[in-house]
Amino acid sequence: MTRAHTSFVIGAVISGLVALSAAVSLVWTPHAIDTLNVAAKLQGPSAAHLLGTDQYGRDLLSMLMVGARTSIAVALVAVGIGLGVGLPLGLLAARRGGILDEAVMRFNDLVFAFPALLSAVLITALMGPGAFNAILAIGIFNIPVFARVARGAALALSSREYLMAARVAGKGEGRVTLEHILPNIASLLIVQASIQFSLGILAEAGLSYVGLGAQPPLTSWGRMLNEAQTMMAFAPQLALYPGLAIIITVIGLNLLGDGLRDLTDPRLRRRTA
Amino acid sequence: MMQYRGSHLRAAALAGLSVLAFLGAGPAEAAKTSVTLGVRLEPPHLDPTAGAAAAIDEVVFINLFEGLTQVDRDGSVKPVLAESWTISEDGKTYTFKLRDGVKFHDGSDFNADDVKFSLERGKAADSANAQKAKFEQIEAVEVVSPTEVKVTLKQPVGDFLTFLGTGDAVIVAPETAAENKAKPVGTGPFRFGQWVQGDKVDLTRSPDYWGTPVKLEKATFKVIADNAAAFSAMMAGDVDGFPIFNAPENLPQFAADPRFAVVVGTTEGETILSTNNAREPFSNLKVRQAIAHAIDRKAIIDGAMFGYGTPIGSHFAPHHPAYKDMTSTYPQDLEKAKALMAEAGLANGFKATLKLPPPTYARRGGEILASDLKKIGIELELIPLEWAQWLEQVFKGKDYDLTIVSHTEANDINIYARDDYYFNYQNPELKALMAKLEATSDPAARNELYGEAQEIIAKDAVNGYLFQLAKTGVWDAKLKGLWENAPVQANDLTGVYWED
Repeated sequence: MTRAHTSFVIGAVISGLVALSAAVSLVWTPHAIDTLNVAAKLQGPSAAHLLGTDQYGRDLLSMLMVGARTSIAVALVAVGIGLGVGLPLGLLAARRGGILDEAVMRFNDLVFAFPALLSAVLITALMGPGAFNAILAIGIFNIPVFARVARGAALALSSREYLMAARVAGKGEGRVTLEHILPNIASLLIVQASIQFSLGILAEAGLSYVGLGAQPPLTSWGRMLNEAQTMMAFAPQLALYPGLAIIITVIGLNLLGDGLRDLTDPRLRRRTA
Repeated sequence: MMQYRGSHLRAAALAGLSVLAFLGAGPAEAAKTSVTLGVRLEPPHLDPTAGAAAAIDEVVFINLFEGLTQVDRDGSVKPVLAESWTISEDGKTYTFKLRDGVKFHDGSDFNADDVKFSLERGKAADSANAQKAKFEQIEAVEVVSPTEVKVTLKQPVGDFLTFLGTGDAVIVAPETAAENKAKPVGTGPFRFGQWVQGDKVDLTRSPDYWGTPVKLEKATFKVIADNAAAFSAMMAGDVDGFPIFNAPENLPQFAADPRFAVVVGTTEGETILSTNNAREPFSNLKVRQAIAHAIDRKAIIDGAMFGYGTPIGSHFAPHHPAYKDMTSTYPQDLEKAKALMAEAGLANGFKATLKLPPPTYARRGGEILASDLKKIGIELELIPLEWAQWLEQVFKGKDYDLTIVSHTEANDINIYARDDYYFNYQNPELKALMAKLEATSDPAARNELYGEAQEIIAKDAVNGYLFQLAKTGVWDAKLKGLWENAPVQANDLTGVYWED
């Protein structure tokens, strides 16, 4: 197995496990997290509570599983916004060129000029805290990322013979883009999506940590960290577990992205085949 | 050889020690004359006579503004701008002898005209005073001489002198009253320094104060809303203390640190699940009783406040002599609660909203309450609000189902008799009782009436009664003179000093 394979497999396994636990939490968690049992608060690990309980006596493992759901949902929709708006914009810019290209790319530069997380804080501060606004804030900053990747890749393909052949055969620009360009840049987009996805999870955690993301009673890893802050001295596990969950998930997604890139890169593919 | 080297080392160590000793004995030995206290909430403005926010009183009352009387640290009433007073036989006329030689911070003299102005301003049609109803009990204010004022009441008011000793009844000057929100001018031992919005309010010692000059030259109230930031600020020494520290879970850590003193006292804060009695289905007594039966007070005190707080069963402070323990009126009993829900025709439960202002007790208490009420079929949507939004929507707009808030004014059970209050509670019996209470000044008889009132509202389950907020203070162990309890909304700095 090559290095690319290894990181792909490890990344896929980690990401898969996180996604699986989030999916399972939709129908089952070890304990219900909306029924509090204060009498059982801040317990250590036990058979009943594998990771112990939080300050309200909720099962930490169940909290992490439900938290994964929030993180994944926010990151997924944010990537969806970025892809949904950024991709058509990028392709359009590449095909039409001229003023439209200039406008799209300068707009991208403008958005890029602001540090993404800072702007997300700005947006949520203006529109009010909440998971929905967090999704929007993160999603908006995914738009130029995808627009730029799509445009760059599409331009690189534009002078290929098979595209010319397709045009000569009478296909319109729309069909050429859909049937020939899109499939050829798909792998790049998938890799970019996996990277943006991990950034989205980080951004959601960051926003929730400063109190601008998920609001009670919605559980998220960032919110768990936020609530654990004042209890660090006597219950460090409250911060440790969500922190580890974020780190592991982000590493998993990055390995997955790296592996995907290496596996789909034609030059590498030729060498390792 | 070894010995030789040893002696050298010892000499070096000694030299080092003496340097340390010198540094220690160095410059900072003059007693500190400034203090920085952390507060969780920034006051919306600085005029205590024009707003209900406790954050205003906690900065300016007693320190900057004074009244005729003042509620002291033990809850007793002491004379301040009034030197003495006499009360007529029928309890309707108060004649105040005013202190001579008192000056406002702008240099103008304090006299009977200012008293007349201030009291009449409180009851005026356009009064913005949070206690306007109290001022409306005043029939007339008559200036007898520059140092004597006669106040006539419509009917005897039992706790009139206590009321005059709260932040709502401070004396302001006609020339400066309009500007007090941004640039307060009072007669207190501190004058206004500056207000850096979002950051801090500075007060400085008033050079021409009429009473004992305060030991502090400067006092700063620093706004730190975030619990974790508050903790770091204490640990780093950026602030000298928090009269009320908002994260009770950190108190054991402070207590274990010899640099700090943790002082847990009482407040007048009845922390309650305020209920919109005019709104379906909360207008139904059975639903309110069901909610009362579903509440687990111990879980809320332990879970939200880490054990700091005393359970209450009515709207009254447990440390008050008239307190009646009503906590067993509706003990936690889920079966009974469900039965009551069924009797109300809501066996399948219902959905409602719970609006939560920023304090820890509300945000954390809200999560626990939502879990409690879910057990009897009430699905609560938690809506976190900032204070300004809360005041606008809930307190003024009465647009809410349920909310959690601490009512920190002393002996405020009379709010249940107010027509326009946000509980939307109407009970002629209680109104009659409160009217009788107002007309009674004998303490024993008053306590009797207070007891009856506690019983009525407890049985009516007007609101969910949770716990009496503790005053969880933490400050530098060398800082002396801050209040242990909070019988009135204030952070009195007049007796505060640094111990050497």
